[in-house]
Amino acid sequence: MIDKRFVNTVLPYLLSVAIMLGMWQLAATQINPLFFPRLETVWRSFWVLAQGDLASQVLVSLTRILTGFGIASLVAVPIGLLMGTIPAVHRLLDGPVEFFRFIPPIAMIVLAVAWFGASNVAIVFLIGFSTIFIVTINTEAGVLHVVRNRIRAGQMMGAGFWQVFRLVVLPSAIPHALIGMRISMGAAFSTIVSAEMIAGDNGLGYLLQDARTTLRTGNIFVGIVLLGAIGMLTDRVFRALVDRFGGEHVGAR
Amino acid sequence: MAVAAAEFRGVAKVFTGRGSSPALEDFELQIKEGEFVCLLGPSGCGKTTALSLLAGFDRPSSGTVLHRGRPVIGPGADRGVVFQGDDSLMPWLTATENLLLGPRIRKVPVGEQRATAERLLALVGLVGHGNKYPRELSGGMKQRIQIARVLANEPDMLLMDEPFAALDAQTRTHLQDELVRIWSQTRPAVLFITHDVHEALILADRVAVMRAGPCSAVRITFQVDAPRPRDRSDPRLAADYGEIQRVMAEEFQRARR
Amino acid sequence: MSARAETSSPWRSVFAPSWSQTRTAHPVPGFVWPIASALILTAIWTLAANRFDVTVFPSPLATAREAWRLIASGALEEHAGISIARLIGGFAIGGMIAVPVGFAMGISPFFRRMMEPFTEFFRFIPAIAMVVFTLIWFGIGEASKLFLIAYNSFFSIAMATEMGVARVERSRIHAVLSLGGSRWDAARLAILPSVVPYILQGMRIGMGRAFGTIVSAEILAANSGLGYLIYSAREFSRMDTVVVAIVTLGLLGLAADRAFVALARRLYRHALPGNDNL
Repeated sequence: MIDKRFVNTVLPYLLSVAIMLGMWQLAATQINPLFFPRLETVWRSFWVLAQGDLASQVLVSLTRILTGFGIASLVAVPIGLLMGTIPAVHRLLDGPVEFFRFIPPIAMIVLAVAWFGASNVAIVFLIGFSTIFIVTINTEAGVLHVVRNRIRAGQMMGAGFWQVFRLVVLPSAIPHALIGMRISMGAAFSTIVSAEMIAGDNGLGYLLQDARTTLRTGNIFVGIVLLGAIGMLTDRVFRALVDRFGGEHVGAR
Repeated sequence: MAVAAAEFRGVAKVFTGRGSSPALEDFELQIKEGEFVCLLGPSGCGKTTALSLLAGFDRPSSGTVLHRGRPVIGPGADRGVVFQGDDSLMPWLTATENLLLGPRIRKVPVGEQRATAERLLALVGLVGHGNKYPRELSGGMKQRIQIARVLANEPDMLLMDEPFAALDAQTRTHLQDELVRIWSQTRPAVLFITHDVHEALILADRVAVMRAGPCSAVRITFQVDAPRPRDRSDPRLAADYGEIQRVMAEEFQRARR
Repeated sequence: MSARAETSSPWRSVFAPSWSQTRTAHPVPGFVWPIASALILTAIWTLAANRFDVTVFPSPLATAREAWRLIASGALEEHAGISIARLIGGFAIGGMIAVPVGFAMGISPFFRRMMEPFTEFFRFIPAIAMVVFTLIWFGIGEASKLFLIAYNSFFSIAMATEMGVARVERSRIHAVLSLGGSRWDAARLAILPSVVPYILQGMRIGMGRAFGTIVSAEILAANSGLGYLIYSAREFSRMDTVVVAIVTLGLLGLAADRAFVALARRLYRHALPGNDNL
C-alpha cells in the first residue's frame, strides 16, 4: 500500500529529477560530451575545484554583491521614505528614478570600468546601481500604501507627526522595502555574473568564463549549479524576512 | 446651561473635485455630556463625514464644530474613534500592544500600562487573548480591541463609525449589549453611526435621522426613553421602530432618485 | 503614477494637506517637474564632464552630437532594431512554451510538483550564466541569443500563468458550465480572460531582466546590437557612444514597460492582478 501523500508530493519530485538526470546522462554518452558533460565528469570537477579556490571565488562574488547591495539599500530606503512623504521630493526625483531603473545595469559596465578601472569598485558600483532604484521605488510604494485608518488611529490616540511615522508608516513600509531588496538580489546575481565574465579576474562569473574558454564543461556545470543553489538560498532568506515582517498581503513593484 | 459635549453649528462640508454639491449643508446637532446619540441615515448621506469633522480628521467648509465648547482643530485622544472594519488595527502588533498604543504614545510607565491592559482586556471580555495578532482574532474580537484601545485613553467622547456593520447578526447583538454594559461604567458622550434602526433603538438615548444626501442635515430626532438594558421585544421600542423606519424609508427612496 | 499617487496617498495628504488645497490657488503644471529634474541632472552632468577627461566622462553636448550622428547614419536604429528583434523573438519562443506549461502547472498539482525542481532551482540561475552552454550548443549565431532570452522569460511567464490559472474564480467557471457551456467554452470564456492579465504582468516583470540578458549576450558574443555597440565603443574610448546606447536602452525599457501597462489597461478595464504601479 503506497501512501497517497507519497504519490502526490514526493513521487513527482523524484520522477522529474530522475528523468532529468537520465536524459542528461543519455545526452552525455550519446552526444558529444563537450555539449553535455557526463555526471562523473561534473562530480570530479567539483572535487577538484572544491579543493582548489572555489570557496574563495564564491566569497569574492558574494562580498561584491553584499557590499553593493548594502550600500545601495542604506541610501535607497531613506530616499524612498522621503519620496513617499514629501510631494516635492517625489516630483523632483520620480522622473530620474523611473528612467534610470530601466537601464540594464550591465550596460553601465563600460562606463564603470572607465571611471573606476577594472576593479572591485566598478563591479560593486554596478550592483549598487541595480539595487538602489528598485529598493527606492518599493520603499516609496510602501509609504504610499499605508492604510488610512491606521494613520487616523494613531492620530486619534494623540500621536504627533513623528510618532505616527515611527509607529505606523515605518512598520508598514518595511515589508515593501524587503520585497524590493529580494528583487534586487535576483538582479544582482545576474549582474555579477555578467560583470565578472566581462571584466573580472576572479569570482563565479570569471570561473564560468574561464571554464568556457578552456572547454572544461564539468566546471561550467559546477559553477551553474552553485549559482542556482546560492541564489535559491538568498531568495529564501529574503522571503523569510518578508514574511517575518508582515508582508503577506503586499505586492511587488 | 451646561456646555454640550459636542456641537455642530451650521456646518457645511464641500469636497473639492467631487462635483459641486456639498456633502453636508446646515448640519446642526448637539450631544450632551453622557448622552448616547445615534446618527441614522441612508448610504451616502454624509454620516461618516460628520463624524470625521468631529474627530478632527477634516475641517468643515463653513460653520463650527465644537467639543466641550471649543472648536475642533485636529484629532486627539479626548475623542476616541472606533472605525468600521478592522484595517485600523496594526497587524504587526499583538492585541495588547494595539490596545496600549495610546498609553505608549503618551509615554505612560510600563507598570501602569500593564495594569491598564489587564483591566481593559477584562472589561471587553478578551482575557487570555492579549498575545494574539489581529489576524488570529475574529471580527467581533477585533472590534472589542478597538473599543479597549480608545478606552485606554479615558476619552471624553466616543465616536463610532458603524463598528458592528461587518459582523454577523449574532455577534452584532452580543456586542451591542456589551457596548451598553461597558458604556454604563463611565458614561462618556457617544456619537454612534449606523444604518440599522434596531441597533439605534437598543443603544441610543437619542436618535438623529439624516436626510438623503447631498446637502444633507439632520431631518428629525427621536428621544428614546426606555430604561437600559433594553429588551428587544419591548413593544414600546416596536412603536418607535415603526416611526423611525417610516422616515428612513422615505429618505431611502429620495436617495435612490 | 505620479499624479494619481499624490492625491490618493493618505500619508502624503496628512503631511502636506496644504498642498492639496493650494492646488486650485497656484497650480504648477505637472510637466514642469520632470523638466526641472532633467535640467538639474544635465547641469550636474555638465559639471562632472568638465572635471573629467572626455574619454572618461562625455559632456552632454558631445553626447547629443554623437546621438545625432548615430541616428542620422542609421546605425542606432540598426543596432537597436537588432536587439529588439532578439528580445521579441526570444520572448515569443519562451512564451509559447511557458504559457502551456504554466497552464498545466496551474491545473495539475502532480505536474506542478514534477516541474518544481526545475522551476524552483533553475530560475535562480541567471540566464547569462547559461551563455556558456548556449555558445557551445548553438555557436555564436542568433540561435544562442534567442535561446537565452527564451530561457530568461520562460520562468516569469510560466509562474505568472500558473498563478493566474490557480486564481481563476471557480464561480465563473461554474457559471459558464451551468449556462450550458462546454469545458472548452469555460476555458475560452472564463479562464483565458482571467489569465491574460497575469501573463502580461509576468512578461512585464521579465522584460527588465531580458534587457540585461540581451546586453550581456551581445557584449560577450555578438557583432551587432546595442550591447555590441557599447562594448566596441570602448575600443576607441568613445564614451559618448556608450552613453547614447545606454540612454537608448533606458528609453526602450521605459517604453516597453509603459506599452505593457497600456495594453493591459486597454484590454482590461477592471483591476490588474496585484498592482499597477510598477
